[in-house]
Amino acid sequence: MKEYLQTGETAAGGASAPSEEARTRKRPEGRSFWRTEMRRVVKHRRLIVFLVPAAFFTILFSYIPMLGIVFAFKETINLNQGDILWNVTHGGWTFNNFLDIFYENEEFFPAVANTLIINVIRLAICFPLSILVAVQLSELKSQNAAKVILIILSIPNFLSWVIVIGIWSGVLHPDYGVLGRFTGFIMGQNQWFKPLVVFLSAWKGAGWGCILYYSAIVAIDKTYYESATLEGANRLQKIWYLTIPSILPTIALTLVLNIAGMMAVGFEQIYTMMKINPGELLLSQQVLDTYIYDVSITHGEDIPFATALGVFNGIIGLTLMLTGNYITSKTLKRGLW
Amino acid sequence: MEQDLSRNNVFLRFFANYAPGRFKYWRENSSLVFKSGLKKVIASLAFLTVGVGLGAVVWIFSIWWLGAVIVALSLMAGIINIISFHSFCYYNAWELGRGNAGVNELEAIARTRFSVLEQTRAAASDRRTERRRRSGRHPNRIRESVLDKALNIANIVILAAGMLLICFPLLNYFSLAFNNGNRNLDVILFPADFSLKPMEYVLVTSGAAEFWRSFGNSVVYTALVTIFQNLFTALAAYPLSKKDFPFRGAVLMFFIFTMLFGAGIMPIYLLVKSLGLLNTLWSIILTGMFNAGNMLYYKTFFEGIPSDVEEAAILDGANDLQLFFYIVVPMSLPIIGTCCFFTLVGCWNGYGGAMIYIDQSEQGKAVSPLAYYIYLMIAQNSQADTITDPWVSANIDNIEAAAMLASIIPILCVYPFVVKYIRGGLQLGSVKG
Repeated sequence: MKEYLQTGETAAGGASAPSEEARTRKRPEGRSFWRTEMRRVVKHRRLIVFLVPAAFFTILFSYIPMLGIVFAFKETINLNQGDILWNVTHGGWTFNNFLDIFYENEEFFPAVANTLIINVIRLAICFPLSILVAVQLSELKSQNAAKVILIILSIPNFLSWVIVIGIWSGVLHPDYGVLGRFTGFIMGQNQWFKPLVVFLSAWKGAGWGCILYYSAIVAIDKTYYESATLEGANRLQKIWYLTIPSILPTIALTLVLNIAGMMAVGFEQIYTMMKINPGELLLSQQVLDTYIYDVSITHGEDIPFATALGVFNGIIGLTLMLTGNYITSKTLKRGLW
Repeated sequence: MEQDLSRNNVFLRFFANYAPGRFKYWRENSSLVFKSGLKKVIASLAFLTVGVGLGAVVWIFSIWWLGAVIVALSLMAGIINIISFHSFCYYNAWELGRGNAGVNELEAIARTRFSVLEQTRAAASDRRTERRRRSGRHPNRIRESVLDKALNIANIVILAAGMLLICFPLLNYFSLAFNNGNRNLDVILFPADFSLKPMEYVLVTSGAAEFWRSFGNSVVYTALVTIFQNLFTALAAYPLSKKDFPFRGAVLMFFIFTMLFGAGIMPIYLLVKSLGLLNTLWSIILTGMFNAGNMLYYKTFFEGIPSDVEEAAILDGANDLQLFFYIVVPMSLPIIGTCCFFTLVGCWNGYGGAMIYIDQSEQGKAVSPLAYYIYLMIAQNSQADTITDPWVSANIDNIEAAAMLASIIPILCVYPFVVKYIRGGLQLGSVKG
């Protein structure tokens, strides 16, 4: 899901319009569903083979782990005693693992709160920033210069998170950093942690995010602008009444994708930012992804609880995605997939 | 043939003039032809001398590498200039010998073709006229209002600030990699105390074994995942792009559901563990073999391919496999290039999977990809004071920067080759999305 969202930000695709699809897929009159489908199976019998590798890996790494949801309902799983199947068939069943997420757990609610806070701030800053940069680039007189600037702005996107964080923790080092000497921003400080998370997201992603909008703006018919100029519109009016409405579908789709991915904050970024700072792990800055990682991998003893946490997170994600899809298909007449 | 070559390729333009049969004419007319462009030779030599001199001054008195760059550039420019002039004279001697051109004409041609100054001057005047024409001395033109002009300036200022914000940390940090024991503060934009030692440490001496091991791991991981993920994804997307594929909606939902809901990392971790893949490179390779999100992009693109083409191929006797590899794949290069590049960058830069399946033991380090190796290096350096070598502990920042710089070079090398495809692919995304 995370991968989908990442690419979804950059190249938001989607299925073709549903009405057209329904028309072409309509089966001939007077034939039963199964009969038509069986004929199609025979017709496309060779194409079915094409699906085999994808289906194999999907089943292996997506559907078989889904069977693991049963772990969340076990009282204990001890891999020292026996293998997983033995553990599933022995021992009692319970729903307490899900209740444990909420009760007697000081980490879960701060983690959810941090996730939401970071995502809301990010949505409020990074999301308009890409659009702003794209509009600015399109307003430049020399479009060749705009393309060069675009390439330069998108360089940080090709750096891995650990490099981005390494660069900035060097620049912001309180003793040796070029900027850190003069500003108070230090990654290890609690009060600057969230602003820096958002800032680094913007630094890394804004240039790349604006490529999508920029190519949408470039595709707008230039004659609209000429006629607007003749009508006496100034630059701001042209942007507000012409550019923005033209790219509104793209904006809406990206917005909904962002909202659907509200529960994922970019695990690599935040975990690395926590790890890279000398001192404590900034427990108060834990987000949901890093919390799940810590419970599952770093500690890893309580398998039922970790599974329950993962399943709970998955359900929230599913709900958000379905809501997002509902909103887009109602407003834009086009689903997320 | 000669005409075509000389028009399109600079190097061939130089060397095509040295056709073997022309030496006779060159012997006869060289002095005459040469004289016609004497000014050019002098200018060229002067340029060379001034450039080399300036570079030498910079080299000796301040920053040696900047001076070296200036010397090298001016030498290159001067030499290319002289070679091109000589080859042109060689050609002209031939033309002259055959009576195709007079000396005066040659002089004129040489002047216009080789005087760099004159050429730039002409181009500048062209641009000036063009600008003057465009900005419209026309009486009816619509003037830019003061607001528009102010906005324009603000726009440029903001974009310049943004570029500075992007470039400054990059330059600042990566010039650390070429320093000897300097911290970030000493270095503003260029190396303060130039040294290749940190780079050498990472790539050649002590750190090299670990670096190249994880580099190799990254290459294997990235190559396998990029090739097979995109192959399997495109293969799966092709049947689903057929409108009359049986149970199309159900199969599509089967794949899409995996993006909507995942069971969390614990069950996958246990699965990978029970498959015996923990702490091997195969764990991250095999879990990345299919990407449902990319499948949707492929599917959308394949749906846009006109069915006439495929029908024609079927009439010619192509089977499905041939149809896919010989017709569909060549027609979908933009989307394939875009998706492959995304996968490649994701694999090269990602270490989230490695953090789950590969631990920090020696066995884990032996299979860690490059990004994870750098992550471990930084996470350990910031916490433990286990370094014994005094040079290493003094240069630790520089070594980190060198390792990071070395790790991003492959991506930056690939980027120019795929940028064409990406722009096409993204435009596609924007049109469809």
